[in-house]
Amino acid sequence: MLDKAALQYYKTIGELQGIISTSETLESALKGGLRLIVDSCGAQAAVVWYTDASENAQLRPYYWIGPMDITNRRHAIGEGAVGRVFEKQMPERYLEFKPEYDAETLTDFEGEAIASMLAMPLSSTNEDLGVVQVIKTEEPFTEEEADLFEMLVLMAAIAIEENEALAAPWEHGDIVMSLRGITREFQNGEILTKVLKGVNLDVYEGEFLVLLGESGCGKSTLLNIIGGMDQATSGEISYLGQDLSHATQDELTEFRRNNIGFIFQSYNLMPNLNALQNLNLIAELVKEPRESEKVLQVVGLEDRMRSYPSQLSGGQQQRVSIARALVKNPHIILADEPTAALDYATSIEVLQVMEEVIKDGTTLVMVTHNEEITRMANRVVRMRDGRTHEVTVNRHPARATDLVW
Amino acid sequence: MKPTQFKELLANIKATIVSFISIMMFVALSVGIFVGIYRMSAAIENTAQAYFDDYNFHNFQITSAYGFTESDIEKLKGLEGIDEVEATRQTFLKMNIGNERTSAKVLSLPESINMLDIKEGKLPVQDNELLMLEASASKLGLTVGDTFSFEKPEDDYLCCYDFTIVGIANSPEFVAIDSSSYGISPFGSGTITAVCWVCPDVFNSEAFFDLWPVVNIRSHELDSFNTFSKEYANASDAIEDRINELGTTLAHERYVDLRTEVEDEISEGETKLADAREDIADGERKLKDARAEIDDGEEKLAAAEKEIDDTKKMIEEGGALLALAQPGLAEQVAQSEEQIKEQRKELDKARDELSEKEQEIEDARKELQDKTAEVDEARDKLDQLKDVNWAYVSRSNNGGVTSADALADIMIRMSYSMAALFVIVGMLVSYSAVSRLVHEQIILVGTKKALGLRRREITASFLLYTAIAVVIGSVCGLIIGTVLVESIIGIAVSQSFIFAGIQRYFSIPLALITSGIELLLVLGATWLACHSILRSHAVELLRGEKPPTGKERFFEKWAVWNKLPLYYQTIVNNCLNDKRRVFSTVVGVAGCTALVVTAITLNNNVLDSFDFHYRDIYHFNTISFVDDNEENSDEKIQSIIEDEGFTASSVYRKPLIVELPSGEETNIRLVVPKDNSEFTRLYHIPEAEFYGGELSSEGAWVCSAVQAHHNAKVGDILIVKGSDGTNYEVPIAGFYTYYLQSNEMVLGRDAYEALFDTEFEANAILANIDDASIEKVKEKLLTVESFSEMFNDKEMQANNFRTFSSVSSNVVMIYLVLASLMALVVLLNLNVMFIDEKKRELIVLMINGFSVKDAKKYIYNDTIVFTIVGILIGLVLGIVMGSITVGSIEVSFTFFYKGINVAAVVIGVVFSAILSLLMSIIALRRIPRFKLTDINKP
Repeated sequence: MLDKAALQYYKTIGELQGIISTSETLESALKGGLRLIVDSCGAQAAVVWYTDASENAQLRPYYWIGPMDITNRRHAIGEGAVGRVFEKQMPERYLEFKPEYDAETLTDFEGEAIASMLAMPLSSTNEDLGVVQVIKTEEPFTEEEADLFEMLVLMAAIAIEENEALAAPWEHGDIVMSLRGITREFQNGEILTKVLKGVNLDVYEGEFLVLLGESGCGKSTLLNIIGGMDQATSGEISYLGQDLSHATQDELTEFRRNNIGFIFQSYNLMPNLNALQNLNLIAELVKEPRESEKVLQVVGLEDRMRSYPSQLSGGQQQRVSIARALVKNPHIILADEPTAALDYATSIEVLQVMEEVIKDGTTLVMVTHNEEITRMANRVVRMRDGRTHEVTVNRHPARATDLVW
Repeated sequence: MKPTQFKELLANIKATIVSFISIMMFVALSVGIFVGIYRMSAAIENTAQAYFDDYNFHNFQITSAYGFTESDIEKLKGLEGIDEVEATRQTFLKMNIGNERTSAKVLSLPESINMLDIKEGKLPVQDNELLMLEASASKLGLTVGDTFSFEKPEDDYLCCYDFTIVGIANSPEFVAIDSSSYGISPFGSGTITAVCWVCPDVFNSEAFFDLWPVVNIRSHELDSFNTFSKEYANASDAIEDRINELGTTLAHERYVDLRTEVEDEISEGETKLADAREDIADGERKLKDARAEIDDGEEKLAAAEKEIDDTKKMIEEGGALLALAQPGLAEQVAQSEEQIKEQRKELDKARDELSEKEQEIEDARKELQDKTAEVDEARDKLDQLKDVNWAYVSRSNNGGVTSADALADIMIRMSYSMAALFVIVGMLVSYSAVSRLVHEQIILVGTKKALGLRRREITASFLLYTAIAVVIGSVCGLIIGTVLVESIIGIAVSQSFIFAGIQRYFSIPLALITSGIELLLVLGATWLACHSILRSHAVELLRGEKPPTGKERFFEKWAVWNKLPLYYQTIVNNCLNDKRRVFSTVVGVAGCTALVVTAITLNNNVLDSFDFHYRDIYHFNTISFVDDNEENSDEKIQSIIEDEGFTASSVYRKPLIVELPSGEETNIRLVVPKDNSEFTRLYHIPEAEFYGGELSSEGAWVCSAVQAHHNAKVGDILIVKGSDGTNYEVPIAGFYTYYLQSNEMVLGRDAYEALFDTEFEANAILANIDDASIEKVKEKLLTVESFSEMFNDKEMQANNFRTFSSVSSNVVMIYLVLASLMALVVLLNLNVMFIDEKKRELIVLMINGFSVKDAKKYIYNDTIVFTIVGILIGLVLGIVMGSITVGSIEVSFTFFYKGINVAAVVIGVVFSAILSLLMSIIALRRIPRFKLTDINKP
């Protein structure tokens, strides 16, 4: 008769088989697999490291679960636990992890207290693809959990063979904004609500970053803090190395004025100004704005320049809103649920405009509920309970027209 | 209303407390201001009435040029509706207090009518004791224990002229502090400075021929009416008619008696004259005979003397012979000579007697001449004797009563004009506040409709909302009216009258009517505000407020428009798209400006009227009076003044009672210049010059108040009531602007002499003397025998204006306080509402990098434009309202400058701009407190 642990073991393997067989893409198979691994082993964080197959091959994070942002972390082959596992193609178990065992792992997990760490090479029959790494912060993995982890990674590798190969790695730009340990608390009478509980996130030049999550997970609050509309209760935030954590309201105003474009769910256009004037109003704020007329052309509203918001459809208004964000020629555009109020067709129209914006190299940070939109992003940060929970680096973003919901 | 609906209503009030309070405050202000000022009118009337009742004020006072006999008094007592009749004596005397020489009205102590309100001391009991009117004593600086003397007049009206003041009192006959309400004295300027009472016995009855010059009458029939009411006037007229009827008969009888008496005197005198003439003629005959006898005697004596002389000669020639021949001849001669001597003595004696008789006849002739003159005088007297009626002064025409009535009238007019402004602005505020409330809750209203609430149920909740505001506002208004307005005006009123305090008067019907009207108006405005919205279907309302239509406007194609900075384009668009706010803000600012301009125009124009009068019309400051002018004293006075280097002009100047074309009687002062060219240097009538009319014989130039308040026209006839009962007709040649608080007319000398059938005799000298030199000039004038007094007319007029201004400045203060409150309520409310409305736009701007300063600019740019527009409209409104309000406080004898007051305009602009700015600053403080993250809220 099987014991309870064995039953759980087989049940998990069965679940993984289900995920692999139902996943349409390799990414979804890997993500589903890693989630299962984390859940089954009771891990606090996990990373899929992936080799970029270049001459000076490095391991870079492809997908991870946990509150850290390791987008720009790299492991040379043979260096550190992850490098060694990849080089030797042998799993390593640090059931009782000590800091002196692997300094790189400590850096990856940004100072988290690591109690236990497992690393397992991810390889198909044809090639060595990377390493899957999990950690526990409070108690060590059991041998059974380690066995299960290794079995699950082996099985996930099968999926790679069954699906197409992963696309070329995403080359991100420089860090534009960096957030570390961001918390945000709201005092409402005697009740203290902690909305953000320590967010670590970097925003890269030219990326399309999507913040995803359930209502109340803190994504809009995070967006507000990124945009300088709100200030963190604690933590560090910097823009191009300039500290914004202790900026005055005037400094934040200057920051927003010169660097940030906003797109709102409810457009928030000036009702008494026509489309062109709405753009001009903002364009007048900066030294080198884009030409309002041309920006309106970009969003396809060259023939509605003199129309007032009330004369425009929701989609058109949102396009004016995007144009308004663009006209300042901002470094970062922040969009909060820009398609939430729009129907499918209109949403696609708007997303197409955004696609053009990204192509121009503008950084776009978008908050959305819509999972489908994440397919367009370079990175998807899924938030849960005031923290970044999962981060996916999208190796081949979809086109707006490919999205279906 | 269901309990939950009521709870929702209360929650609504809590949520929109600023709007709620703004409606409430407006109702409070308009009710308070109206009720406060309106009630002040009734309070003045009631206070006066209570005083009249307490001191048994006469209902009628009658005077007669020929005095009243005991029989007249008895007949008056017998008239229906007359309960008390009291005959009194009075006289006008001159008095010297320090360097001041003034006129006093001395009355006998009353027995039952016009009883005295003793403020200090006691009633006089001794002949040399006197009681003085409180205001007179105060003005002259006299008090109980002081002594002074009256100048002894030609006719000895009093038995003594040196008095000690034993008491200070007030009288219902003299309730106004202003001495011009005490009547007219026959001396100098006609002004009565002091009113005094002495024991009746002090009056010398013989000097009054045992007659009574004044009779006071009381009718208890009139006690049930307020003196100021129409009912009183009607009832009083009925009794006056009866007195008049009796008066016409008795006055005529008295006239006939007097005439007969004089005719008898003349007739007797003429008989005596005839007898005297006969006696003189007889005496002259006798003288003639006596002279003839003396002449005859002389002849005979001469013959006898000649005979003696011949005989003597013969004796001398005959010598001894003759002596022998005719012995005793010498003795005969000596005897004859002795006889002649005797006869000559007798003749001389007869001559002396003749001379005496001649002297007697001469004396008799003189006496005859005198008697003839006396008879002629009596004949003249007879000619002058006129059948004049009694003069009546009803209680309503008493100076104090007319002053109180005029003030009560001013209060009522003011209450209407001020309340009208507040009600209009208040309605607009209510409309705007409720309209905004409805629009803010449009989705909620849609939901209610969708949930099945009826239109009237939803309307009812809004109506109840405003009704609660109106009720609370009305209660606050009544408190404001009673406590604030009445107190402020009450203080000013008590400065003009003797009443110790103004009786608070609360009228429940007035409160209910005022509140009811306010409620109807505000509910009407609320209904209008709800009506159009609630007609829409629920589904339309659920979509929220319709955004601006956004049609392209014609000017948007203009190149000029597109070149305008975006801020200005935004302002124009904001204005065009939110007309409600534009309207409300402009109304608020305009209302505030209008109130300030009106208030200051009211105050300044009254004071400016004085300045303009002395700039444009009067170019003199002092008036000197002469008592009689037989020795051309006016010329002496004029030359003394001119020698001092000042301009002077002699005039005849006299207050007259004039019947206007409308039938009303009023006091108009007549001014007749002695010399036109001299006069025009000091008294300028621009209108007369403009029409080239100068002072022609066509008639009198009459002051503008008569034209403005009595509907008189050029060519109308003024009937001047002479003191002897003669009426003189004076046509109106034209009207001239005249701002002093009295009526005046100017008549050319020729016209005066022709119309009044009299010779011109100057009694006053107008002069423009430096204030510093007045005393010096006055001292010099005292050397002129008939110089009566000199007073600084300009200073007196200035005091009158200052007294008037003390009331109006209080009103101005109320206006300014209320204007500030209005601005506070309207502008703060509107600014706050606008900022809240624009919150999302402002947050978007700030998120996009607009600084707080930029965001504020986005709001206050609009406010500045609206403030400017509001101020401009308010100025026009304020100028018009100011003119109307100034006009509304004019009474029958006042006419004020009604033009634009620059100071009012400047203060109005600055005041409104500052208030608007202040309210904006307060409201703009909300912007920095906006949370940018609120953009995420729906």
